[in-house]
Amino acid sequence: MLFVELRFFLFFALVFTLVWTVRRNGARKAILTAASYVFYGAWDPRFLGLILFVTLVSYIVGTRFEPGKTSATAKKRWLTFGVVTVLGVLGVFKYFDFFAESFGTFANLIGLPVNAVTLGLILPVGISFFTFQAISYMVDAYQGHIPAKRNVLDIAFYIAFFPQLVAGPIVRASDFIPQMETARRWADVGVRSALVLFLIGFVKKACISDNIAPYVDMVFAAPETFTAATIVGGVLLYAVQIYCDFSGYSDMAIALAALLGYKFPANFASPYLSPDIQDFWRRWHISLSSWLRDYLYIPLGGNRNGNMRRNVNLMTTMLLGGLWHGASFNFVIWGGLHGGALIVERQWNKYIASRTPSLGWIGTLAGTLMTFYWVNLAWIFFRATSLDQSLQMARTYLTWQSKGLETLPIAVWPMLIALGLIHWLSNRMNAGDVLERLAPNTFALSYGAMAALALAFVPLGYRPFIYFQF
Amino acid sequence: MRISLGTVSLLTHIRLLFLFAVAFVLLAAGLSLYLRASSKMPELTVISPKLAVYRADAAAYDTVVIGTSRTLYHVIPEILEAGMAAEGCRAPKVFNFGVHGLTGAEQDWLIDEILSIGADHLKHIILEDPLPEARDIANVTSERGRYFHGPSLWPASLASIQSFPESLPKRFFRTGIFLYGVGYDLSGVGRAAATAFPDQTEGVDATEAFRIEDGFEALDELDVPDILARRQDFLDNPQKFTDALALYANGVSPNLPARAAYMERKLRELEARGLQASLYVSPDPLELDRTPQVAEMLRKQAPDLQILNYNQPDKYPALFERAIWHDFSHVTRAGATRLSETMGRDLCAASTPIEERTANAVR
Repeated sequence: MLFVELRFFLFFALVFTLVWTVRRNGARKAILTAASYVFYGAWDPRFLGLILFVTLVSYIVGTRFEPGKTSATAKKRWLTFGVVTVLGVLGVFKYFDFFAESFGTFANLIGLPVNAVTLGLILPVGISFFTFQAISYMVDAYQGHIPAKRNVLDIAFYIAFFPQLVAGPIVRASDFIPQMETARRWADVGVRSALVLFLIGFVKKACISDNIAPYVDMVFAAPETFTAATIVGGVLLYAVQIYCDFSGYSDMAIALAALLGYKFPANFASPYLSPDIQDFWRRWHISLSSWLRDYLYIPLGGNRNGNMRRNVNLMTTMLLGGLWHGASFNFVIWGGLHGGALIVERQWNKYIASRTPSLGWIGTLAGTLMTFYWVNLAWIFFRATSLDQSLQMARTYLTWQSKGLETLPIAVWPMLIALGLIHWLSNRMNAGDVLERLAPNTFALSYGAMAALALAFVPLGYRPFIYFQF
Repeated sequence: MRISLGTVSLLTHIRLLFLFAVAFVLLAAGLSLYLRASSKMPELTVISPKLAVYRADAAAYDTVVIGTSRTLYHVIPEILEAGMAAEGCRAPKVFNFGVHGLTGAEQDWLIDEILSIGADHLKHIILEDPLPEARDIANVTSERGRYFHGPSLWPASLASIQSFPESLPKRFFRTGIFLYGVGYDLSGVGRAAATAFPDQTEGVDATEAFRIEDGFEALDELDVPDILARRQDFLDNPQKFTDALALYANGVSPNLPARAAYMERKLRELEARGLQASLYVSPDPLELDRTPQVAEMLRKQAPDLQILNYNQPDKYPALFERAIWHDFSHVTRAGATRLSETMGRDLCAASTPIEERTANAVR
């Protein structure tokens, strides 16, 4: 059930009506939890047991953190047990086959006759997201940022809440759980801003990402047949596709949660306008990057313990961040490219930039272009289906040389320039604000007209969101 | 009483929702109709290649058979022509315009298309009793379903649904699905995207295949999974075939007079355009309680019309031998050959007096 499908709109209309019809907070949470399970079950009901298991583990571990109930040592053991169990679930379903096959390949390379045993499990939708939320709950409760919940329904609701269940944003327990303590008030819901955000997300996903996806697929399916300009254009189109797909999903998720009275954190902030890689990670998939920072980078030691250790922590975090996206060496390389860039950037800032005068806007522009160039190089490894193909495309991207003669049947570069301008303009001026300031009647009429226009640009045949596979 | 949702009253919400709906419907429908009018006909399986073949050689054909897959897989033009010639008639040149799943509205559209191409050369149109409009959402939202849900075909679709020999609740349900299809089409979904980002996938060009046998295709020569599955089902369930044959004697369908009137109107309209018009009812065990009854009712109410009713196991037992059937609704090439020969003979017998036929044979 995708946010852009008619059946989802009907589902949401029903849930929305039920939630705002009942008054008791508990009843609302029960309705939303049940709806979330229906939503998840629509993907594959077999994996409902998995969410329940993760929920129960989180709940049981959380109850050990109630004040005066357990000693500090025991609490730590319970936390370790909880995190390891939840990561174990993620590991079995997502990484077991990858590591088993990699081990087999490596063993064979060094002459050991090993036949890798694989499980061939289907990857449950959203497993990377809901397991991270479960970890967030256990860690936040352990650290005392939130009180442990006594009602398992609260944990089930937090982990399964459908707007963010399958592709985020990853909502911290410390951000979300306090919101569920009291019944949400309709008067506090920013209906117009939520509707505008939903439409923006819908347009990004359905009207932009889904329309350019077939052309990206064409380039990545047989890059050797295309000219260098087309391959580079295809890579840039992929940058647009994945941004519009994922940030579109996030916008819709945030808007849907807002319509139900809950606030999610922003997940994107015009990332392609970042003047450096560090800033890029403050603007791209913010909920994941901040999660990795707080639950991995800082516990590893963060910036403490010297320059070398910091760089190791940085690279470890980025490599694991890459691996979080999927069990493939391509994702590891993608994480490594970002990690490497972050390390180089820090050295640059420390030894060169801090000792030379600022170049002002020219420096910012140059930094933005270089960051965008590097981010796109990394996207090649993220999107390509094999390492060989990634290397081949990266070579063309860097040298602008290809023996292919094919081009895409659309005006790639004018389209990219137009989309780039829209990206820049949307950062400079908030179109949503303009809409929100309209008189109610004008807003309703404008929204209806824009929805109709958007619908005309939705290609037939839905494409799942890219991040569902993670 | 004033119901309040937060700071805004319920009435205000309803007013805003109404304004939203008005703007949405007006723009979506307007845009959809504009883009429909300004874009060309999509490539539709069977329909597009058959029209291409016919358009390329329209002057050669004086007879067309327009029907469902019971025309597509059952009528071999060459055999039909030979059958007529063998009986001493002037052999016509026939084109098979069978299209799987052809509905009443689609048939009306196809008649208009064919006449716009070949009216100067056509003498005879044979119509099969078409299928009703779709009763599932997937069909009305498909590219073909959508194309035939345009405003110009709304009356034809409703006439087809309302005349179909089935119960009122079923026709009501079918009307609901039709309205869903109309709503889907008018929503404009995808219309601008299809124009701005044309589909790059190239379908299989079936033009040549339809040219070889004047539109006929032998079902048992197609290696397609769903056709093979239907074949297997037929082989696995012999009793179902026998049970279907029993429908002929026992089945009773509602709404028969409406269907007979519907078909008569179609045939009379063709006659009014100066064409010879005939009704063809294909052998089809699963329709034995429906199509033969419509044909016989029409024969009674319009004796002057030519009716070729082959869905009669008592009259045409050779056409219901299980060996010539590919599945429960379609025959093999051997079955199509047998049926086409019979059709040729019958058409000849009905078209001219015996003396004239004999004279033709001598010449």
